[in-house]
Amino acid sequence: MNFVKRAGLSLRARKVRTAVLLGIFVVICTLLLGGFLLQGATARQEADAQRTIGVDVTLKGKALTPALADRLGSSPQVHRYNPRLPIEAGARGIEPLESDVPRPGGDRSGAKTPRPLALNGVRDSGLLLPFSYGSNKITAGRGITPEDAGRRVAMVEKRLASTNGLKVGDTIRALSADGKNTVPLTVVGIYRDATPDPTRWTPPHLLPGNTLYVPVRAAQQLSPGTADLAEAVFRIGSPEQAEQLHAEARRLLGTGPFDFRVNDKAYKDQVRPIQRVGTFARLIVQLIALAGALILGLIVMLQIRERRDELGMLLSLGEKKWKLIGQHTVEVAAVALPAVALAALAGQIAAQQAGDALLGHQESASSPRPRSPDAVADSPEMRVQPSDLGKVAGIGLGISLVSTVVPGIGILRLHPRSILTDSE
Amino acid sequence: MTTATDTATEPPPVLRLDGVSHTYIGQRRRTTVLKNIDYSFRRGTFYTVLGPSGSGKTTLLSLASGLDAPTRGTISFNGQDLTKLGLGRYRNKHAATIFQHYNLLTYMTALQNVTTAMEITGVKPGSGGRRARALELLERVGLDKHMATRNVMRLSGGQQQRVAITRALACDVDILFADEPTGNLDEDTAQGIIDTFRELAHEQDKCVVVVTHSQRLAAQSDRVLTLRKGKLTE
Ligand SMILES: Nc1ncnc2c1ncn2[C@@H]1O[C@H](COP(=O)(O)OP(=O)(O)OP(=O)(O)O)[C@@H](O)[C@H]1O
Ligand SMILES: [Mg+2]
Repeated sequence: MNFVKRAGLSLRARKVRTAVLLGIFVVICTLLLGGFLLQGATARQEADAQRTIGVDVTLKGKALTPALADRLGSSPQVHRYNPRLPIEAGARGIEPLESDVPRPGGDRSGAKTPRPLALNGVRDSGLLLPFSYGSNKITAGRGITPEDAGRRVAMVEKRLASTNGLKVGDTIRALSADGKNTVPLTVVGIYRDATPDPTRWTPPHLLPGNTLYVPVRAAQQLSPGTADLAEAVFRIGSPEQAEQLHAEARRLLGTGPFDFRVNDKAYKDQVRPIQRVGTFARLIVQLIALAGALILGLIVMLQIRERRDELGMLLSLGEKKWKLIGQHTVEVAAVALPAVALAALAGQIAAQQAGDALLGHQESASSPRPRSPDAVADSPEMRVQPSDLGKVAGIGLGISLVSTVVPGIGILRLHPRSILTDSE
Repeated sequence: MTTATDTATEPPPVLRLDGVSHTYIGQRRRTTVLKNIDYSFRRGTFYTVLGPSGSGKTTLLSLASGLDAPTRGTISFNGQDLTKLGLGRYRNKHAATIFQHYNLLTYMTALQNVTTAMEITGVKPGSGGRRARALELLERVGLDKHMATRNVMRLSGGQQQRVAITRALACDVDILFADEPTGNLDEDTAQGIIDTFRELAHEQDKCVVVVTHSQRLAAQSDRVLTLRKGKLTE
């Protein structure tokens, strides 16, 4: 193991050089680690954002039935989905709202009037545009969720609730359009629609306050056979997945025409900045690796003369080549490994600050419009993962080996005579 | 021309050059430095090689010491072709060289330079250990313990040269090559070195080959060879 001893002597004798190398290594490793941490954090945040923000695809078409919406909703790229089945219904035991403004042309009670309540059969009311955009807000209880599928529950508007003294937990009775069927509905939530009452006379079923949300099944029971889906919204992870969904929709809906609309504005506003930070982090890592290799390469070039003489001399003594490379490797590793350890400490701090500065800033700058509460991505979590440290150690050692051993091998390919007797 | 009586009285050759030629191939032209040299070096003999500058003395030495292979011809050690024996192994076990430019490991003390060479060439530690042996050899060329434990870069040129010589001596080899070893030394020190070479040849039965410009050194050697126009003559 005499080459290890030589490495030790060499490092000790070249204290200044060793210290400078260590310093450069610590900086490179710290920046690398910071880059990796930022990359990891943005990747996690991007995944989170894809899940919570996502891209909403709105599908409309004659052939679209609740069953087809369910099948499409079970595609792997769909995180959440919501079909909407609008029906009209009457009310038993509660008073639907009526326009304050007198009806022009007087009361034409003889004419066939639609039922006063506008019911929407839904699966996941959080995906409804007015709710996700924030113009509708739940003020009590909760919205309609996939778990409500088989239940007879309803979410009612605040104005209807206050007129009739309804609270969460009360039961109302809805009457089917043909008047044959009554379905009891338990109020699970009360929401407020920011739309004011119209200033002109409006039929009751078009008043914002008369809109109720119920599970799809309940709506079907009130409108047997005839109901068509108005549309279905599918939340997918990224705009790129929309194409797959489109193909799937085409397959399921057959040849009939359908309308497929992708709303990726929220995604672009919130996910793209995170992706940009991720790209930036990747670029940083690459640049640092390159710059590090260049700097170390330069340092090595400067001492190559010294190395050359040393290698020649050791070769003339008949030292084995692998031991010479071994010595260089030990010298480099003895600097690189403590540098990785120091970088693990420094990287933690650097990454946290960089992350706060970059991602935290993007987050607040890119939310011009309100989102539902679950759409806010968490602040990035940065922890030094063993895998990150492993990568840093790998790259650090890689850089140092490439910049030290490769020129060494170049020298070793020469005959010792040309190393030792060529004066220049 | 060697005669039958020569081979009978003299010891067998330890190193043989057979039709050795060496050509440097430059970018524009080829320089043939050595032309078809035949020569046998024997144990227990102190050789000096004289010749004008540029005549190929260093080249000859580097081929004979296994630092390079000749472009033509064979060099054999104890009857075995060096290329078959392995140049690295030959350098490691059988030959030691002191260069024109003393190539010491600059990050070590004189003592460490010597012991490192002993480790690499696998010299047995002996009774007192390598360190004691190295100190004794350094003492013999006039470097005391104080100087021996100093970094070699803080020694004078002559002192460094003596470390290089000691290093070659310490590696218990069969043939010792030296390229102008006394060029930087004062007369007394140079004489000490020459005495050491003679002692090595005569008392330890080594083959010592020294390239020099010094007639004084040559006069004290057993055989004086002259290299001129690519030919080696006695
Ligand atoms: N690597 C090389 N490439 C090309 N030519 C070389 C090379 N090394 C030496 N030479 C040439 O070979 C010739 C012999 O060189 P060498 O160093 O052997 O001479 P020398 O007798 O040792 O000279 P000196 O007494 O000055 O040391 C010179 O002409 C030199 O220019
Ligand atoms: Mg020379």
